[in-house]
Amino acid sequence: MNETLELTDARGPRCYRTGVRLGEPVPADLRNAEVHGADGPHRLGDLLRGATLVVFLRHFG
Amino acid sequence: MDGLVARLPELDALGIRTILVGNGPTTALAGFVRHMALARRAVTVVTDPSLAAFRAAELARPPFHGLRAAVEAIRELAAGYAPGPVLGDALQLGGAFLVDTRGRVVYHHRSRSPGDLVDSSDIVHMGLALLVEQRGAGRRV
Repeated sequence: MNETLELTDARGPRCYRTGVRLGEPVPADLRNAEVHGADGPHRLGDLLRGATLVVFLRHFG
Repeated sequence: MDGLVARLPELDALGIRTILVGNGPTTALAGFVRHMALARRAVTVVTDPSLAAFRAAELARPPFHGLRAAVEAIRELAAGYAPGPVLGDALQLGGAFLVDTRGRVVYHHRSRSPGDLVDSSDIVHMGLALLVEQRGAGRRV
């Protein structure tokens, strides 16, 4: 009997996320995200010049 | 947020630019800058009402804020912080990322509840570490 054994990672798909990871470059999705400033829209990546702290606020409250 | 704003001069002195990303309407930007007295600070304030950047940063947006959030709100009230009007997505949680000069993420914090804020001292310590690394780069030891 020929059975195909499908190998899956017991740790699940979360291990293959391509998100923000320490020591790795800012992912493209985040760099390409459009944000709006007082002077109009920007690519978030264009604002990352030199060492930069990006703080995401819950809201403007 | 107040804690971080107080440390902005230190971050600036360390050569770290700061970008604040909100998610309220663009019309709320000016009021926020005025309210937080950010106009003369070395900080860029932008907003993303679409929440696309928040999703790309993998920041949580739970369907509701639970008991922990209620306890945090009571603590804030007891400490004298009265909540203002919410200009943005009330369910979206925040976070912070520190990116070095080579574009690598060297620190991140993702809030697990509304009161789980980034520790500004952690950011300043990481900034100092970056500065030491930069100045030490290329030197013979």
